[in-house]
Amino acid sequence: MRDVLDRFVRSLAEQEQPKEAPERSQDLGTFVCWLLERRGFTLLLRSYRHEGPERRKNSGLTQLGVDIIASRRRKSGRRCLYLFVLKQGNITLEHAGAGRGSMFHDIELASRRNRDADSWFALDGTSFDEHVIVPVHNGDLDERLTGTVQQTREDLRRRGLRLWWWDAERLVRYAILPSRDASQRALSRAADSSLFPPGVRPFARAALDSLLRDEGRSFDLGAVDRLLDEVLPVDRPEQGQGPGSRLAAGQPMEALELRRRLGELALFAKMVEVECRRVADDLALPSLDTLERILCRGLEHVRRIPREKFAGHDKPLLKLLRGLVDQYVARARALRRRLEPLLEAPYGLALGGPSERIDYPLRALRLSGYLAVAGLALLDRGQPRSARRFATALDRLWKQNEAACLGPVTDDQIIEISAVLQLWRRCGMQERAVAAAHDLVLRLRWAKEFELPLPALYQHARVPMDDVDLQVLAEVHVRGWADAPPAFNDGGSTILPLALYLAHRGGVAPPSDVIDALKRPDAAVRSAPGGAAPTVRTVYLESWRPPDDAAEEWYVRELCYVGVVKVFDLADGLASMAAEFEAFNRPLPPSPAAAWGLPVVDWIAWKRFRTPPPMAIFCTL
Amino acid sequence: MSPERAGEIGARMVAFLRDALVKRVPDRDRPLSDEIRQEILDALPVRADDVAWRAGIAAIAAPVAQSFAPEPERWERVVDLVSIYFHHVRTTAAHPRADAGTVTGPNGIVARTTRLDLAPAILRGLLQARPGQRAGFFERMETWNALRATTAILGELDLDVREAFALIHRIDTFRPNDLAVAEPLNAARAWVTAHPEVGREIVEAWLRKEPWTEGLKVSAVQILVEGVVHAGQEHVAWRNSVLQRLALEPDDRLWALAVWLACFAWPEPLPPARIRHDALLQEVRRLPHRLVGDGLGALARDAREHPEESVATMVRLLEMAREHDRANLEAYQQRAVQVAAVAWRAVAGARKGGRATPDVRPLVPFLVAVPVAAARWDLDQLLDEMSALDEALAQELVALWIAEHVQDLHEQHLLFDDAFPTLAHRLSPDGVARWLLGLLVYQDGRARRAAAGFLSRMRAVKLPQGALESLSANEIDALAHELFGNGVAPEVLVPLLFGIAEQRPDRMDIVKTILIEDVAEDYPAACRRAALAAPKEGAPSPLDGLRRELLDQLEKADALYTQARSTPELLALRLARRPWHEVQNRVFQEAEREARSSGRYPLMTLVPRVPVPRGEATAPEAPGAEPTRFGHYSGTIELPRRELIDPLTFRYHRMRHRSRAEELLARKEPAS
Repeated sequence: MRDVLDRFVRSLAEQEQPKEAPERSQDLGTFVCWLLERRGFTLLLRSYRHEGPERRKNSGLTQLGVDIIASRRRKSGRRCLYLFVLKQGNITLEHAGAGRGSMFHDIELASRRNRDADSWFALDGTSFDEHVIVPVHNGDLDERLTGTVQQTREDLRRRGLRLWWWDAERLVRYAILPSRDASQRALSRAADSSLFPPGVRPFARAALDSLLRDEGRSFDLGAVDRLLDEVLPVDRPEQGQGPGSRLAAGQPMEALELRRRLGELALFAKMVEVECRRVADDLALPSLDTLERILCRGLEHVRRIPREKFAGHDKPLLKLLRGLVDQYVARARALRRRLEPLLEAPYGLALGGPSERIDYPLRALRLSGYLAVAGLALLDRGQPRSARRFATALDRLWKQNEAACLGPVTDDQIIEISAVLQLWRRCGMQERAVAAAHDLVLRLRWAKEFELPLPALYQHARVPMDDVDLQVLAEVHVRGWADAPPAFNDGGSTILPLALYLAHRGGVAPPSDVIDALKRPDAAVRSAPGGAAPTVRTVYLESWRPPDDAAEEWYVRELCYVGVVKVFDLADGLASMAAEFEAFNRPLPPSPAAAWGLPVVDWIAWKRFRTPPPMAIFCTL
Repeated sequence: MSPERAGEIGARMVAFLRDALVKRVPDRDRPLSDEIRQEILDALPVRADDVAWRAGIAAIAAPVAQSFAPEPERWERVVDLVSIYFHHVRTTAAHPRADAGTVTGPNGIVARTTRLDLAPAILRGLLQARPGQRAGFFERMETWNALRATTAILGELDLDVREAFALIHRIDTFRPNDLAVAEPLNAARAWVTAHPEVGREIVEAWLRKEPWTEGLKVSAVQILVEGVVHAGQEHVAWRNSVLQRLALEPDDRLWALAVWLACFAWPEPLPPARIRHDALLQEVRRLPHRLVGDGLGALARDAREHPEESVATMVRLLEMAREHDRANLEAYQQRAVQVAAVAWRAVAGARKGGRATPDVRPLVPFLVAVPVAAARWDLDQLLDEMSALDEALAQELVALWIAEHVQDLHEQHLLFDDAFPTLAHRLSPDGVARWLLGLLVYQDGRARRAAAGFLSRMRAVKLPQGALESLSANEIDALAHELFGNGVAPEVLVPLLFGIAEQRPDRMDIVKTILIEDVAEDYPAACRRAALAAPKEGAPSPLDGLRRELLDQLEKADALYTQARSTPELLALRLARRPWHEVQNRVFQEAEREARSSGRYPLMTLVPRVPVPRGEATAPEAPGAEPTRFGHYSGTIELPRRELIDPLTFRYHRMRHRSRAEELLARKEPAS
């Protein structure tokens, strides 16, 4: 929490200039006001003021260098008036002059304020016992200025004034503490949505409060999405109508503003984690899903800003994104540790409910997806040993839960399967990936043989899952494949060609009867019992290649009706099909995430928006 | 009995009947009729012979008949009421005319029944008093009591052509397909035999299509012709002319009549069956595919008395329609039902009459085709008879039949007792289990599957002692594989496997492997129940080790499952629970609608598809009402766990066990 809060505090501007601030945008002034209230101060003058129904910033010569005035009774009973002087960023030697607008200039102005006039803030008209000037800045103090500060403190003391100095570190330390009256726990122990601006607060509160329901199992990801739309709106209207329409380019945000907003979202993600620990038995899923959403939205906005417009904020932004990825990895690691005892026996991830035919594969593959993405993130960060731990855990998870991991219920679970296979490949467990691909082919073939439903083409394993999709899947799995509703279609598979390709390239080709069975998709004709019409079950081997500019959209939505689909034929044998697979799936240009050194965000985006990854990734390595 | 006393009782009866004709009042009528019946019994001579007894009855009946004779529209009602209220008397005393049977009343008093037979006597009086009303009475006759009374006095009646026509027509149409009409029909046939000229006249008029014979059915004509020809050799020529004329008619129903007449319209005593059957075959040849069914019907009537000849003739008949039947499944199944009927009667007749058992092997293809819905009648009776004569043959026939109908048996969820109730009763539950276990090592996989289905649907099966004695080691292994491979219900499967291990310790390894690797995975609760079942006191059982090993594995699985249930990520990812239950409820509703129309086992039809929720109880139907506890009917339902979480492996493993059984059964090995 400390790191996240530190990044957030350092990203704040002294005062947000847009008109809707501070309603919707946090700035240093509003943050300090929040902090002071939390610390038991009585605010007498805020960094903004009301003028009719409108809130406005407080500025001008009458301010006399002071942005916030507050009072507090000390433990000794003495009444103290605090004059806060706010500056953004670091206070360096270059900014230490007495020029107008500098910190030391404003301290001097504050020290000259009329104390009698200031006593008017006490409604009983009595003067305060002590006056403290508090310079506040959300950065670091240049070490070379330590002496200057000490000298200023001595000067002020001689004039009956005291000087405190709050830099970013101190702000974070104070913010993280429990509230002075103990009505609020420490931020590291409990979330506090009042930290967010009033316009954003309801969305954050809705999401955080939903963790209280059902021990976090009913976490409202819709509220998270609404919060994201409020803080970092996509603002990319659709161009054109109907299938294949694309999105407009989208306006770039100011780098600093993006940094502040992303910091706010990172803080929210941390709050979700903290709340999960407090009320939801440390459930990892809400944090992981929230982080996935934030990372996708964050990268979408980072992507829009031209390199030359970052104005030095590119590194903090990258740090923010990496922080989010690190948090993701940490949560995934906690998840892995929790799952490890269950990986000792078969069906360890299965529960006994009747809906397990659907839930078990959804659950196992979704958990596999988190672990695989975390492993891939660690590989990107150059931590192969840690990544290997994830790969090994996944190895055991897939071995003990083969029925679920090799029995996807929707075709778009190729995303999780691909992530796991790719992790194994990159961790030097090529044989494991090949064996899994081989077993996957066999299981899909037997599922077809036993007239069990194959992965559904038109239903998706979204997070959260669509109710209609779940209804359709339930219909199919309760009533059986023969009585499937029209909305269900398993006549094609993108998983099968990938598995066939990997198995072939790995030198473990499936048995010839399997290949023969798949050669002619319409060969499996069965006569139904009771004299009903015979059923023909076709399964076409398909592969989808996204368009070259797919990365411009895959951080914000699922790619539909774009790209190219190819149907493979096994008539000329598996080798020919593999060659076709390679030729068709040509590599895409590097994505923005890869350019920022965070290619794992692409995996997260594919998972989040159910866009199958480009199969070209399996044609290399 | 003095005439005065008879008149007195008759008057009381008349008064009683007149009141009852207006309205029957049980509280009034029952004690009064009891009183009058006792009076009648007291008035009749106790130790009288038949003549004196009948005279006494006639004397009492006379005033009643005299009183109601002018009201012919009430005759039937009077006869009916007399039959209801004055049919018999119950007395504690040992009456010389009492029936042999006794009835024990609620107070423990043993009573006997003495029949009075007043209704025929009164009807006789009525018909004699107003002969002109007889035809009308016969035409209007509706009640069984009137028909029985008429049957009783039919031999005494001297009916003219119209009266005989009315009576025979009425008897023939009285209650179609009711066996109780057989006695009146036989009486009518006997009356025609006594009055052949009347019968001939009716038949001739019918053949001439005279208007007054309109509506006479061929079955009535059959009675008339049979009755006439039974009277003597002189009527054979007439019968032949009737057959010729029937053959010329453009109506296949009349040709069918000719088939029946060719078989049964012969002078008494009937000639040998072979001669009659030859005549039948000759008539059938006219249009075999249409008339074979009637030929089989005629043979069914003849089969008890002439079993061997009937079966031999049946084989010849079936040969005539073979080509037609082969192309028409429905006709073939109907034929199969008739074949079963003839075969049953033939075998039963042979057994009871001490004759040689006819060879039914040539009929097996037909018997196997008897549809499931019809098996519980004639085929069941046939198997019951055959099991008494040759159990192996009967078992073989059952195996062939269940193999043929395995799909229907599964879909209809039939018990062995439903398909073959009489046979099951003869065998007793132990015998049924023994048969079914034997069928589980039969060569045909379909028969094994069907037998497993029957076993599965038995609520509890204990392995009968010595049931495995006749099986080789391979067959016992195959039996164990089949039991699991065919999805026998756990409450049957697990005790049977334990039983196998107990009775044949040399097969312990295979039983243990199946139990540990598969059964415990699918049915942990049933395994736990069986493993915890108290072993017999005394020396250590060979099953002790198996029980321990099983319990260890179940405990490990429990611990893992408990941990899984406490992992929040797993609990959070049960996304399809609600939609699953919604679909499941829809399936329940559909099944309920289906059950309303088609009937039986509404819950059982759901079992293969939908798990029954387990819990404490259902909600009570009304506030304060007793809830139905699930335990009453869901205790036997444990759905295989792997079918829920891994249907593919579940099916694959079953298939593998069945294949293994197939391999083992294909090996030839001498019985142990």
